[in-house]
Amino acid sequence: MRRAGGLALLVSTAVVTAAQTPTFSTGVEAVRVDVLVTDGDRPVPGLGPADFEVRDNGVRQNVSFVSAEKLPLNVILALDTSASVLGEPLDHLRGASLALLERLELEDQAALVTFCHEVRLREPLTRDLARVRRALAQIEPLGETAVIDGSYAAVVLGDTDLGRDLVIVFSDGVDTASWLREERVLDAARRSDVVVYGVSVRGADRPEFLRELSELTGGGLLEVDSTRDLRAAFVGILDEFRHRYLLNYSAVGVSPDGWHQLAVKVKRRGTTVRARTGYVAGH
Amino acid sequence: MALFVGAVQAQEPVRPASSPPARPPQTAVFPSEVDYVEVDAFVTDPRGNVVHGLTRDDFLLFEEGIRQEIAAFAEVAVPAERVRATPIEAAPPPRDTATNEEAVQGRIYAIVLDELHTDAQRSGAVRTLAREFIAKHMAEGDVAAVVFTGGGTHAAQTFTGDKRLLQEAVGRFTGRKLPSATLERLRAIEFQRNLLANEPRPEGAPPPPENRLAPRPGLERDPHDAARASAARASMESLESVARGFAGVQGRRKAILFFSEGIDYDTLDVMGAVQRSASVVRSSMREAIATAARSSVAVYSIDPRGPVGPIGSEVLPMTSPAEAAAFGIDSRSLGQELRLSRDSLRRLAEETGGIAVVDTNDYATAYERIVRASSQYYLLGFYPLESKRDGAFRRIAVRVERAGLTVLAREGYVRPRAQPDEKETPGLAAAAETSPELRALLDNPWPQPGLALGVTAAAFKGSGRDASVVVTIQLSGPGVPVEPQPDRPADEIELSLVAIDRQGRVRGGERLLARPSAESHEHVERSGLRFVRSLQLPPGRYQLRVAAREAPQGRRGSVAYDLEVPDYGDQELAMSGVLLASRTAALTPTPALDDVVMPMLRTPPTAARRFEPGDVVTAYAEVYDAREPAHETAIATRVTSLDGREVFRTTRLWSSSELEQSGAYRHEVDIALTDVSPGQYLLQIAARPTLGEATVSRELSFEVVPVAVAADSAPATAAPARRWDARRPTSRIDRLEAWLAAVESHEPGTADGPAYMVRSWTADELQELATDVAVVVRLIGDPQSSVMWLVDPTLRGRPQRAPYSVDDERRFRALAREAAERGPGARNRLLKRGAVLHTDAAIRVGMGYAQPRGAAEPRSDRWQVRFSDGQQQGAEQAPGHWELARALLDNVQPDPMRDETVRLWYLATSAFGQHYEQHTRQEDRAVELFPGDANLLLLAGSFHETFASPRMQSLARSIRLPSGVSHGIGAEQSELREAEKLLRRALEAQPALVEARIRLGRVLYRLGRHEAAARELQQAVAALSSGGSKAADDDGLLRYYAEMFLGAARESLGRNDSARVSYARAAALYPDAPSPRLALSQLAFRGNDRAAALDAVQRALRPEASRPDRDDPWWRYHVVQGRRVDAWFDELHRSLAVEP
Repeated sequence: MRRAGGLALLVSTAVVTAAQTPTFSTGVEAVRVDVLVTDGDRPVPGLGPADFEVRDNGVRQNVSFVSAEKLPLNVILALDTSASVLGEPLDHLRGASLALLERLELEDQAALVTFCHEVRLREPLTRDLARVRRALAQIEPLGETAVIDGSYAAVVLGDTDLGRDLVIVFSDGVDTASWLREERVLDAARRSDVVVYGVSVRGADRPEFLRELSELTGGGLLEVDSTRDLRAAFVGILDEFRHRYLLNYSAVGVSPDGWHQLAVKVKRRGTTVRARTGYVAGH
Repeated sequence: MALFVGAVQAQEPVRPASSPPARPPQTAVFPSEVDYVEVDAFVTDPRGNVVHGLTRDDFLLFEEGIRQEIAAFAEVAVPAERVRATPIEAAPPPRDTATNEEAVQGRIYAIVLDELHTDAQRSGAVRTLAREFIAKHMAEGDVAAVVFTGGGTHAAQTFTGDKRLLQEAVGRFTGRKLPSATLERLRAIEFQRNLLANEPRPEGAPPPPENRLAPRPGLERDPHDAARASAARASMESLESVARGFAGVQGRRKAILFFSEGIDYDTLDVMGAVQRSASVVRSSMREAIATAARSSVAVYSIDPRGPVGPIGSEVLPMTSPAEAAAFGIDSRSLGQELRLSRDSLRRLAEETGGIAVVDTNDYATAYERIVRASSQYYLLGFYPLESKRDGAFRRIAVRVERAGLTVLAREGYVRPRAQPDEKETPGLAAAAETSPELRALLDNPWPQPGLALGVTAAAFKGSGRDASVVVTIQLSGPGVPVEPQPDRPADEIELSLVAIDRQGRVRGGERLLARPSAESHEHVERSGLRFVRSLQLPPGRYQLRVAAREAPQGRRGSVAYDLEVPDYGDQELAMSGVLLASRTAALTPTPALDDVVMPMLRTPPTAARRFEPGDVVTAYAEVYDAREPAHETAIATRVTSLDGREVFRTTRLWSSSELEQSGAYRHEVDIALTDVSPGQYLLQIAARPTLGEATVSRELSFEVVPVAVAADSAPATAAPARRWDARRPTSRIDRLEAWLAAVESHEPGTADGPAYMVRSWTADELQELATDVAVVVRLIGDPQSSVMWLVDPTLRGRPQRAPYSVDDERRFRALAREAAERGPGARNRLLKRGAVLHTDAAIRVGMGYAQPRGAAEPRSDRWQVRFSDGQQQGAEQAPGHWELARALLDNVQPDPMRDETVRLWYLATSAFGQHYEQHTRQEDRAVELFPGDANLLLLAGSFHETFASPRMQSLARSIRLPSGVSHGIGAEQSELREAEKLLRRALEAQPALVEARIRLGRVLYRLGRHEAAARELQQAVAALSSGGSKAADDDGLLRYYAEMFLGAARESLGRNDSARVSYARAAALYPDAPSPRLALSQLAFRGNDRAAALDAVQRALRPEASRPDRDDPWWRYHVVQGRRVDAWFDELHRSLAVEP
């Protein structure tokens, strides 16, 4: 998987230009995979490269780099502010977001995207978290739900900067207003590096889009019974994300284009691995 | 947004059919003489159904066996429909005003919770039972109080219509019944025996024999006799006190709900063998019953134990049966206690005309019966032959001279005493010099109709701990008597206000006199009078009672308002109440305006919650923010319709440096009601500091009423269209006559008095009206046709006897003759104007208009579902104006299918339904009647396309309706196929109708037929680029859709470059619209051009473009097809004008 920008690691004859335009000169791909390893419900710490086995389209790869905690985070909150969150749910949502911001480190950045029928970038990625807090205070619920458009915007915005990208999409309903089509947005997510966590409130409709989006990016879907549980959900996601591993490898022995199926294993009994299911290379 | 649904097909017209006989008038005159006795009689048939239509002659009334003449008689039917819990309950909008408008309809309940006779373990059951009654069986206009028997005679919650307060009071209930007498006696015996067994005795002496414990006086008695008797007396005195409080209420049905396990005191134990206070308890019970009977209040006793015996903690094994028997205790003793307690409950109910809910678990049915008995009954009044004042109990009996009917009525009354009853409740210490008439009104917490009053109150931070409560009181114009005489000023108005705390103490009040000048009388008559006062009150809960009286006719009225005064001293962040003022309301004369209010608003606050479009409403609230350090606070003001549509929003960011000395932000917002359509709205003011997470907010509701109506009526809280309401018909033929007058007077396209009048009619009344109009219409065409026989076209069979009298027939013929005098077009004119009248009633009077109480059995087949964001918000039964309008038009001659007015009606109403998302499903019927009309076909196709949209499909999944009622939203694919068929027909009828082609393209795309979709859309784009259609395009709106949909179709076909061109063209047409930018971004991302993808997203989302007025036609694609609704309505109204 390639990265636009400074993290694009190119082997062999790769050239990283000073400008932010990526240049790819060979078919050898630098791939980065964000992985969560758990034992039961708890993340497993202290793993090294030798503990992982990564297969790219079935071909075993040599994992060259494992890093987890040191890279700063880019957290993009994409929040449903349609009419249905009016009242208490909005207070809970705002409270959960503030609690998450409280737990960010100095180097971390946050952005706020909201969506009703209209997607709005309330605050672009910034280290000045007070700006994000102020933007949160000004949210006014209104209109219908464009969760697909909102998720797309968050994925694209998150796919652009240094650091590890975490997108949290909250929605309490199903999409009623998006222009973009579900499959196109899932396709975009496959092509990006972001890890998406979906958070939804249990109801009549199953949040299939959020489930698929979060699973294919290696994140997860949390279904809460009530918006009261949002704070625990948001904070839990951040904690979990900090305990993840970032694997790098140079893809060898595989086609330079198309869909690459990924399989990540950990050589320890009883552990579960969550990672994106694959990536799109080439073009 | 609303969707009308039903078990029957929506397009099926209401057909004239025979109806049940009209009910007698529901008015009665209530004499107030001391010697007049009133009896409520509840009559049921053998199956328990309420019997209607009895007359005075059907009743026999006896006092001590001697038949009495019935001097006053009325069948009272307070409609029960709003009492019943609907399967889907929606929270009512928050009201911050109280009026006495609907007072005459409501019931008055006292919920007496007998702490002293409820086992602690069953406290929860009692709370649940009482709460269920409050939640599901109390209706609008009803008031109730909660009284605890253990708390003296103080009400835990005084009379209020606020269910939340009642529920809170019930939550404080805990039972503390004494242990069973039988068990206590057993314990005493056991204790004595143990004492004896352990008595010191000489060494070696044998233990005492078992039978040494001989019966002796102390052990035969109930150890808690005194406490038990005192508890029984206390409970009965509570009941008596509540019943006495009801004495002054005439003409309204009142009931006591007595939740108790009954008095387990043996009142027949005159010898005092076990319990010594039998006579005292018996007499207190008799006194309670007598007082209830005298006040004509029925006691409904409700036993929370259900059908099982005294279980739980009370069942203990009898360790020594033989010994116990010696004391008169055996296995039946506990059963005897149960029987006693149940008997007491039965007696209380039966002798006061109530029902005992004893030995049953079916409380729901019992509650329904209680409400029915409180809603539908006969009121009989008589003057006793003897008018002695000796306090004697007089036995009365009510019978009906028809076999099989059961009468429930009180069994007696107590004659008044010569001396006033010394137990008479002392009146409230009302404000000094208040007249006795007003004092009497202020003593009662239930609103008294008469002089129309509205009141609202808002608490502000005051000095010290006390809050300043601003009370605004408004008298409606037409109710205020101002008839100036040349030699004297207009008449005097007396007004008194008191604030009563939870303990019933008066904590503040004032008496005011107003004498409007002769010059101002017209002004006062039009706008009413307003008083704005302030009271300094410590934190707590209060009931404000306001009573007013006008001098010449002595008319009076009163109203009660519940208010919570917060403790502003101990909160870091708090908000005051909200005051509203408006430009129109500023004109109301205000003889008394308090100084406290002066700095708050430019014009005095108003108690009115109805405003005209175009008026400017000012909302004022104070936010108290004591948080540190310096920070900002966002105060947002929003106005939304009940279905969540926002019509106003503004947010102001305050800096803590702007705080007043009092620590308050004085937040004032002007809300212009320009372009706000009639209906009910919610106003919310919310404050959020950037520090921490706390928010505070206040909400209230108000209504926007059409100008035509508002000008016609009082600006205060009085109902609009008073003049037409005054004509509210009392019989079926009167209603028909009123309807004919309304049809003539109604100005099409307005919500005028006639529209409000018919909107106030219930579904059953409209159903009857449909039959009656059909008769008149037939008579206009054929004056000789029969009136007395009706044929229901939906039922095969013989004609049925019509529910009309001979006099009705004569009036029918006269009305028809009068209508026919307008000439040959009279018949069609009546039908068409009638249809438009009901259309205006349905759409212009507004969704928020409170439907009045209807007949006892609400129609169950028509529902309207409110929804927002694809989720159901609520559902209520639809009144049936649409069906009636359709039924009227179906009778247009020679053929509705060839009638231009009918066509325009379908066009305008279909467009209305789709444009405002009030889906009434006219479309299918419209294309049945006009199968070749391209515009109707386009609307019908769009309708099905909209039903296939994610928002409607999501609604279909979330919708909850009573069984048997279907929502009629088909599966996505089948709705799309139906849409395709209709849109193709529209194009066959009019190939140049480019909007139909665009929609067809979109539908084909959604059906997965991308190639066909692209073809249609390309054709549409080409047509729009050519001369004729280009002119028809509204500012490039259709072109935008065509390009966007074409882009999507091309993308699906893998033609990304041409897709990009389409999206770019759409973006050029609407540069602010985000959807084309998102589409372009997504194309770029797929093409791996991340920079372009990001750039397009940033342009789509750029904050400066996110103004509230930002427009993307995609957001309104589902309603845009109805955008010509106004033009079509204009055409419809013009076509009516050319009718003869």
